[in-house]
Amino acid sequence: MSEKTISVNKFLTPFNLVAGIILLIGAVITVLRFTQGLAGVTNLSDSNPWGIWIGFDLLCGVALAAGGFVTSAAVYIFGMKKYHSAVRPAILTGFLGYALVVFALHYDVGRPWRLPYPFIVQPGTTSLLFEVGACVALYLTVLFIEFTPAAMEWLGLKKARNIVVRLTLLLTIFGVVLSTLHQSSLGALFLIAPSKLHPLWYSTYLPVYFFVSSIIAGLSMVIFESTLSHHYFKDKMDNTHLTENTDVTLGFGKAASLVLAGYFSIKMVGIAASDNWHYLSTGYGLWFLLELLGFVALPCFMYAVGVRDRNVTLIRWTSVVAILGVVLNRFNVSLIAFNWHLPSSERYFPHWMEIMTSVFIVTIGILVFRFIVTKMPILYAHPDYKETH
Amino acid sequence: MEGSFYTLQDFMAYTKLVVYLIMVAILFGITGFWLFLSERDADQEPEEHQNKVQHH
Repeated sequence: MSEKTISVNKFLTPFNLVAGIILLIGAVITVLRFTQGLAGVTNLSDSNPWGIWIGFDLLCGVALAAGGFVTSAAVYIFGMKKYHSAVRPAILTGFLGYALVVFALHYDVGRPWRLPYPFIVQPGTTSLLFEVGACVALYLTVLFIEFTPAAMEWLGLKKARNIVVRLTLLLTIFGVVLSTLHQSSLGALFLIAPSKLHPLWYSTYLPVYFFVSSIIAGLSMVIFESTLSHHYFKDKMDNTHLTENTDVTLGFGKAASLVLAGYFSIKMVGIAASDNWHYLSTGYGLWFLLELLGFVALPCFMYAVGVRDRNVTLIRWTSVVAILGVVLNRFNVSLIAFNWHLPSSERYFPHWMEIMTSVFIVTIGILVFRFIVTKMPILYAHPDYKETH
Repeated sequence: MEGSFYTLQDFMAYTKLVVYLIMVAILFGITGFWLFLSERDADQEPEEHQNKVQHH
């Protein structure tokens, strides 16, 4: 077999084939979206102007990318150095998450070339959407700078890399402040629609709920991502990363369990403060209980048992449940419990091309993650900089 | 006057009462949960810890 045939066979793996087909379909939908407008590829309407591109790509994307600020705050602000090996993968996941959120916004916004308008044309500083836009733009920049040392080590740019590394603490503080602001503001966006969002999900505490649940999502994503890296990129991990992997899983599992317990508590306070107990016996109430008991209380308990028994496998499976819980919550707030009073004929259900676009965007994220992890020192310390880690 | 009606004051007094009771329960509940979560931490020596981790 010639060398060329071997390299072609190596490239034609089932994963690459599926990813290639998804990219092809995504490219066609992209052309349709930008030639025929939103109506050509979505089921969006005046009653439902926000679909899954906001509910999933943006709300879930931002929440699940919270691992970056959570991990860097734990290591650089709270001094938990034993989790240091988790910082670079978490920053990379966060950076790609936010980059894809902005990428997805170009599909969702009617006139995407106007995305920078709030900064230059119309200040609108009293708008929550302006605050979200400003924070996401700034935080994406922060994440990019935080990610660059790995790229610079790969490219051999020693001096530039050393300058950026000196900014680590400053960037971490920026990251925490900006994340606190926009994670909560995404929840606050829904405060404007008390008559549209079901009372069980509508609460004046929505900004707090969104912020606290983003920490759960961030912690769980770090566990989930490290599990996948451990499985698929084990050959790329050095000894430090391999041995610290268990510490990261146990430590983050414990933190996630405690934050879930706090989240469960404040959700109870929210129901009591609005006196919404009577809604619990309705259909929407049962759905709410499923979210609260099945995807908050249950993972909280599972994490706790996993940490007590030092059962890493249980903690890893629990991270999947917790992530699904945050996704379900964002879907409930933005789609399922939104416009709940409308007749079913007027309710929104995503067009298959909307779903495919989201799959396309997630696939791009996975492929870029794989490329970076394969090429750059993300899961191992670069030999030239080992002493500086 | 026939029947009864509730004012915002009644509503606030009632919901605040329930919230305060829940807060007391949370204070005890979270403390208990923290003890449940970390009671085995002291038993784990650093050397032991590597051996006791379960990978199924």
